[in-house]
Amino acid sequence: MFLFYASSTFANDKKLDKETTIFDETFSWQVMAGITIHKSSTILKAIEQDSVENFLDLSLLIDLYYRGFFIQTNHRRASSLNLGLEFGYQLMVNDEWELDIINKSYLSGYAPRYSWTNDEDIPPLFQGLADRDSADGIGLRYSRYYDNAELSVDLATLPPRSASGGWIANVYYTHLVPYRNWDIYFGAELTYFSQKVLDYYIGIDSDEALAIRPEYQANSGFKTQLEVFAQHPISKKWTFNTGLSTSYYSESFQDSPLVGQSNETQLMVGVIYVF
Amino acid sequence: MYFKLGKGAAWLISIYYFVVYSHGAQAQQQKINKDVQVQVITEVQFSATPTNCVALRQGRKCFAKVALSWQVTTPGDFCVQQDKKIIQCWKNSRGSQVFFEFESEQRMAYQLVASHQKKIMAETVIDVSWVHKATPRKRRWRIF
Repeated sequence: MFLFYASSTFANDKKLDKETTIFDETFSWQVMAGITIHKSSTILKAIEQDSVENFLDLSLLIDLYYRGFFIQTNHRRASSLNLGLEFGYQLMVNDEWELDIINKSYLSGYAPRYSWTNDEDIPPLFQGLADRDSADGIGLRYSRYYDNAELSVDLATLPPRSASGGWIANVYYTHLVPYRNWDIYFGAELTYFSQKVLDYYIGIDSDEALAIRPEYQANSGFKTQLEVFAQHPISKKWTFNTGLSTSYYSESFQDSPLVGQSNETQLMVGVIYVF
Repeated sequence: MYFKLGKGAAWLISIYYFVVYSHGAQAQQQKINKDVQVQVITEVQFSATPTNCVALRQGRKCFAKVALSWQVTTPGDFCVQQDKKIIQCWKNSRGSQVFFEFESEQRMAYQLVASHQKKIMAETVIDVSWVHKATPRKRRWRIF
């Protein structure tokens, strides 16, 4: 079983909550652990959550900052670690905006032979399908900050970090609405995938083609996403988190033999422990 | 006549002093009684529930539904106040509770005051703590 969805972006912290001085240099850091239960649908056919581990995520969220270099995690998502880390360097930082070099995963990969314990359990649609590595891109991120909102634009190339060619553009807007002790975030995202990216992930090469999986060359496409996320303190060390996300994938996705639906919905409930 | 007048005056003075002193003594006794009454209240219970309000971030206003409970051994007139601002008063009571919405970004102290003496009988506090320290940073939050 595997999930296929657009990857997350993450907390973009200039300074972190905790600081440690080593060899007269100051590091900022923050470590958190998260437990999340999520119900997720995916656009891929024949993929369903059918065991406990499919619903449960345990994650370690690490933030580090040192002299403009940073590792960030998404504090609002307790998901897999490989998607939860983002490496970068701050090229320019102002109160109102920031320009970073960013290295992150924009799409999770999938590998049928590792996603099912036994080969015979692999649905026929995915048997013999080559692995798709995660879409690790390197690019520029421009972030614009407002009082309770943020707009960011990523432009990233997948080569040379990924097996896939092509590039990705991502625009994301999030708005914070505080209500009593709750932080409620409303987000909207538009991601554009170039033809090479989509063809790598949902295209069917001639050597993969079957009767139920005809050859398919994908065009460029896009994904839109709306999300709401809420966080509430439980104690000085624990927070409660819940979120709902819905995504729509364009026709280039829908036309793939691997794809069964144009929408994904994800609901998550979890707790985070702050060290 | 003069004598009679003088004797009468002496009586009047005596009555005056009796009235004045007896009243004064009574007042003094009342004061003593009240002091004793206050001193008798050796056990005062005054507490807040919850005692701590947790916000997500330092500097952020914390909200909580709070109950302040008080109890004394001898009935009296009492008020609960916060920074000399009266929240609620009771007459001839041994104890009670007051519920209110706590809204603060910092620790708040509450006092139980004996109304007549304006004397603080007990104090309790509600602390404000947070999960994340305040930072000037901007954040980019995502969930999926």
